[in-house]
Amino acid sequence: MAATLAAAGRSVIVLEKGPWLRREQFFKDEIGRSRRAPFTPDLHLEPQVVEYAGGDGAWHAHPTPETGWDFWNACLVGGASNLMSGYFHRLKPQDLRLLSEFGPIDGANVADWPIGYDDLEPYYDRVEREVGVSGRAIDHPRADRRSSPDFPYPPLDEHPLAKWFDRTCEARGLNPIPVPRAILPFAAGERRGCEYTGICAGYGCSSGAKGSSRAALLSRATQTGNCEVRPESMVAAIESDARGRAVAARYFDRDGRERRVTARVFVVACQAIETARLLLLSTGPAHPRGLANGSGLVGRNLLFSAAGFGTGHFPFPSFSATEVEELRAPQPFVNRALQDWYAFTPEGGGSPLKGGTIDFLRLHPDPIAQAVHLTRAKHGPLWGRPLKERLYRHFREEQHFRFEVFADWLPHDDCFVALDPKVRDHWGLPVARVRVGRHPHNKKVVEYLTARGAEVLAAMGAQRIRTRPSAGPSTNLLAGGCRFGDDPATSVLDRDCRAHDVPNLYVTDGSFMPTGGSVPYTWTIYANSFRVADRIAQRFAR
Amino acid sequence: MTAQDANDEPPPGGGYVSCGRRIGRREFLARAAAAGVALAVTSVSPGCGGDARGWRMDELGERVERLSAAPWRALEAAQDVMLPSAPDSPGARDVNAIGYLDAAMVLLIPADEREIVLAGAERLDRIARSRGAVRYAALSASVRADVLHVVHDETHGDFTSVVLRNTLDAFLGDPVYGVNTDEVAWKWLGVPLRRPRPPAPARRRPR
Repeated sequence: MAATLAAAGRSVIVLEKGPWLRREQFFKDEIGRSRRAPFTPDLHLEPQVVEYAGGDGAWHAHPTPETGWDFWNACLVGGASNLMSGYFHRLKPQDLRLLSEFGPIDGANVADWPIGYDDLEPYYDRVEREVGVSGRAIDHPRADRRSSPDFPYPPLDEHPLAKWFDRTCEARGLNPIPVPRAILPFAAGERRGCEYTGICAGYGCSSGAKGSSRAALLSRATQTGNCEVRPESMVAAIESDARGRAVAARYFDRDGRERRVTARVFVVACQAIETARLLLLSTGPAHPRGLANGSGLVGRNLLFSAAGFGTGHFPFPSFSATEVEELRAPQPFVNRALQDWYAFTPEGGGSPLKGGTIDFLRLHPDPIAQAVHLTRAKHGPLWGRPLKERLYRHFREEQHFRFEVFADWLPHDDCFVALDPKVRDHWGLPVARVRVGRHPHNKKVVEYLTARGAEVLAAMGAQRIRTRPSAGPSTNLLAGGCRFGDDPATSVLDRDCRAHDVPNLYVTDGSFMPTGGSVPYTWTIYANSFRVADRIAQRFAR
Repeated sequence: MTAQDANDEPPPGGGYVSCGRRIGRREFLARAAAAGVALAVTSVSPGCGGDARGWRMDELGERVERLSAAPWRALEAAQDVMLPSAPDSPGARDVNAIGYLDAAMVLLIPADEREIVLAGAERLDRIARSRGAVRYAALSASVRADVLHVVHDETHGDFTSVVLRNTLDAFLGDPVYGVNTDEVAWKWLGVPLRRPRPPAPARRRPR
């Protein structure tokens, strides 16, 4: 958004609550990252309240300082894109037509998107070039329609497990897909190429290879001279006038002083939960229930990603010397996925169900996290010599391969953001109260896909395969809460992501999504932001 | 063979990214409840949770040089049970795990967990005295292991969970913090050096 509008000569101010870190400040420091949570707020200063369904059927609400379980992801310039892994998948046409293609589901507020894949495709293509996506386009039954023949950057180096995976899948009649990554394989502009530590998820990228909005876009935006980034600026509210137009953002600067900035157009992108909270906090004479909330739907139909996980072990004694040499290879990336079950017929028959994506990858290379995990045993914690033997076997005598399932988290009435009536943050503002109810359909899909992933691991020769279809909400993949649509009575935003009842207010994080689809959201959020930026540039002429 | 075991799945790290906040006992309970898992919970630690704030990373390296007397003897002995040194492999004593725990008690560990650690250490010594020893650290290795299991059971795993987690931090953390001396654990396990490393503490206390 900022890069497009600044390049078009518009004057842009970015207000970011967190600091503006340079890539030199991103260390591969596991103790610092895991014990300090350096990119998220102190929960005592900035709590949220999470409501979950207890075993008794009632909703239980707990402030996050009590549980440590929160939905903050990254408060710094560039947001959560700094900490992503950069597994980039496009949504597919049927993701945008979930209702039409698969029909209604009881208890779920499923809706089609007001735009189609063809509206997004040029912008997916643009993200490949402007953010930097590496990959290899191949023909397969679920292949995306592309306007350019291949990716602008070649694939990253791959671990030999990629070949094992391809062989296994092809033998089973499956279609292995090279996963595009928002990571540069070589230097481009100010950004260095990937340094292959594999320490991507949860860490900032010290080379600049990862396509965070900070590294890929905001840097460029500021260089135009038309974009000013104001870090450590916490927006408290967007003020509006009697006609309902947004007129100013009121924020606290790094010294805690209250400030205002006026603008012709306001764009909100605080990640789904905080975006809904900000709009709900922003009451005005024409918006007594919160800005853009004439429908009462701000915060409703919050989305996560329905998740499943599995891991297989490849103990070296079970393989030949040549195979062991391949298993020991240092490359951190495998970059493979399956989308063969993007739609599937459930066991026992019935109408086809929307399925999802299974990404296959190596373990995250954080040794402390792996070691802590290894202390867990069925009959209590492991320690002493047995723990040391397990550590040695894990790190020295076996390889691991895992998968992650991405499927639709169905929107429904018990998954939403509201303002908590009692709890306030240290600025005195009501905090987000997040109800994280789930639809039972999610679990059915995830269990199916998780079982398919495990079958592939087993066919590759993996042993001790462990799977976990997750019923809980993903803490980093957030969307919904301000769904877009053509009917102001059933949506918050129009098809250009402009608020139906605030003509100069746009929302461009994942909040606009009425359904989330079966892939990680980041590429779509980027693509849609470019699309909306074009609309704003057209609509608000200089 | 596929097993359903929620406790046997490594932490996410691909598309599902953790912000890195510590996962405490109460978070586990809350998540388990959200996932519809029925748990027989007999106690939940009082006090505040959340993450520790208000400290600087360079303070950690600075502090990991300070040792004091009891209860550290008991804790050091417990760490030695959890991660024993051997001729062919390092253990807690080789990586300054007790120094790290000392620093973490001040800088990292929330108040409720500090109480658990201190009470657990005191309990180790008390049980040792009931068995005729001067202190827990004076027991033989096998008896120390037995007593540690007793305290583990009495605290429903809370004491050993906190101590073991911090011991593994010291074992596999960056040596810049005064732990994992000479990268001894990384070398033993073949963990590659992680770059860029965090900056060295600005000021170090004289040894």
